Amino acid sequence: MDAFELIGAVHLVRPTGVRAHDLESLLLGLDRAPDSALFYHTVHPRLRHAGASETPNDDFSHWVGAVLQDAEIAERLSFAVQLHGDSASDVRGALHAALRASGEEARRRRAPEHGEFQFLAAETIALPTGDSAATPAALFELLATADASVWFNHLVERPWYGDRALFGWLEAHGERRLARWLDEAARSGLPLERVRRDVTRRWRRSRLGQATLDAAAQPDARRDRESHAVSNLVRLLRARESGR
Amino acid sequence: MSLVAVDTAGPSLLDGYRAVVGDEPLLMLERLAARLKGRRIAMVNSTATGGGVAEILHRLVRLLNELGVPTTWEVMPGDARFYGITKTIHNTLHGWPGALSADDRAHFMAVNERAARELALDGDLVLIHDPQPAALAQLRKRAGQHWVWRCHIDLSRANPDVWGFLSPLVAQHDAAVFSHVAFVPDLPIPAYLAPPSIDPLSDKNRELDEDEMDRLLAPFGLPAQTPLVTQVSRFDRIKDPIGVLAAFELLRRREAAHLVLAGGGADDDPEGAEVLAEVRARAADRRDVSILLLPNDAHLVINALQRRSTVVMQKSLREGFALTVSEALWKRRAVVASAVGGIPLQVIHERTGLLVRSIEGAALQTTRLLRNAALRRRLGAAGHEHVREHFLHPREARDYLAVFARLIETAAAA
Repeated sequence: MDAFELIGAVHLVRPTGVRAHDLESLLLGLDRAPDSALFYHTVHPRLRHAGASETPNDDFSHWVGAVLQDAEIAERLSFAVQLHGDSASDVRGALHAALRASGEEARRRRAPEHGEFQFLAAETIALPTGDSAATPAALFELLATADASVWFNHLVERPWYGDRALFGWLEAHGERRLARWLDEAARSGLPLERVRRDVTRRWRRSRLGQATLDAAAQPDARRDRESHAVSNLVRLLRARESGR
Repeated sequence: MSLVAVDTAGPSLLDGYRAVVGDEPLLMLERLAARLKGRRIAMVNSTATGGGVAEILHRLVRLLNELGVPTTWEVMPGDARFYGITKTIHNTLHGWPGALSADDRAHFMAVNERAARELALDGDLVLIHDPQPAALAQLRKRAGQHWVWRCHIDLSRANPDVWGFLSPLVAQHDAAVFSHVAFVPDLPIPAYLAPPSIDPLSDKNRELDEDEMDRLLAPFGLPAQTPLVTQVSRFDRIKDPIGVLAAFELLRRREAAHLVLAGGGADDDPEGAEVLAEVRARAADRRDVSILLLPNDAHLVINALQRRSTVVMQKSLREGFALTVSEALWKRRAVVASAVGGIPLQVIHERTGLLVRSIEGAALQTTRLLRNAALRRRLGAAGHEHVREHFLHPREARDYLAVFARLIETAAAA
């Protein structure tokens, strides 16, 4: 059976040279900036704030709210990113629509000196963990204890760039349900540690049911042996308590 | 001897950092180091003592070696004239007035040529810090090596003539690293962002108990009951010690406080004595000001001073980054600092400290902090966490290793 290897990542940040000083130039910047810049400003905050209690804000709405002081457009941008953040083209289109909805006056409001928005891009350095697994169950056990960058890399970053290898591998190995849970949790926009907690709990619960079914399917002789062992243990504990 | 011997005594830095930042950042470092297995790094700068770069390198070189990436640190040779020229370069790149003559440029190149002959520079990966050794790539880079220029200076207002002299030299590198996006000039090589960092385990930043602080500060006769307002910086015009004195004079009209201006000199900074004399003259009649000229190894004294300060100031006119700000934030101090260079990366106004743009602003915000202990505690606590997340050595080491990993990857793909 082909094994799946878990890979983490670190990101180098580089300026793209694209800048915005108002909503109009932000709109133009969205067209000029590479996908890796949209990734950095809308997706990467989930890794930067992996342990946050709430969905981390994207950089665009943060800038519009904090620097341009336009709370309404900031809300719309934030909503656009959260709802349509699954790929570069989706998020670009949604941000465009939110910005186009702004009024003339809002579009002309300029950032103060040194307050311009600098489009930055993230370059990914893949870091193999050395961990690989041949079955979905084994893979999930590795994933459950893997660092946040591994979750981010396989569940968020790669799918955002169109590489859905993890989900495909799980489906090919009979775990369509786990693939769906992971995919849904990743798309939820929730902080990564929360995603890890939720999916792990769900997976363990589902495994508990499976373990019960497995136990029920065991041969009678083995069940009797185990039942006998438990009875002996209970007798031993009672005897110790009464002798105290 | 150009090779700097880095102190490797004491417990492992890796274990120490793990205790401070947790497992994940260290795991990333170990994975990156594994990717660079078999490669050697050479660091090059112009001084082994004094200044933030030397301080960083003393620990970073050790950390990289502990990670299994053999790393050496070489200091280029120089003379008084060279340091005068590089001081002019430093100041003019920060936007300060000044110019380089043709003779200055020729001498700069001659010293770099000498360095190119004398230094080993035998790393597979070479990290050149700041403008002083910037010509070495042109003179010594060989096939298979990856050279990176690490700029610790704010180039956003660089003198075009001086930058015009340096930029072709910088362009001989494979990539450049800057502390802040606003500092990045047009270059034909990839530019990456990586702010510098401090060492939470060093004598400058480790925890101190009250007795230790009493003992360290006793020689200076600082008042025990009066709140201390402190600026720790070398005596340099761009650190604006005179502006700090002016702000202090203003705030003293309403608040009791004692000002401490503490600093040393760097080997490659010839202007320090002149500025110190100006500061002493300005404060000559004041009993509420202490001017401390400290040796370069007075790390524990600086640590104690920062910890005992009610407010730490950094009223620079220009800054590359100002590591003293991160040092103060790490110690949970309330910080008032100028909104210049890399300081706003560290001081997020009203969240991790207070940013100012004038002498009056410095006086106003320092007064505000002196009067409000709850505000000091809130800013200090947030500042500490901000530094833990962004400005400690493991993060800076990670960024350098990632840049080299990227260059190797790109070269292999070509």
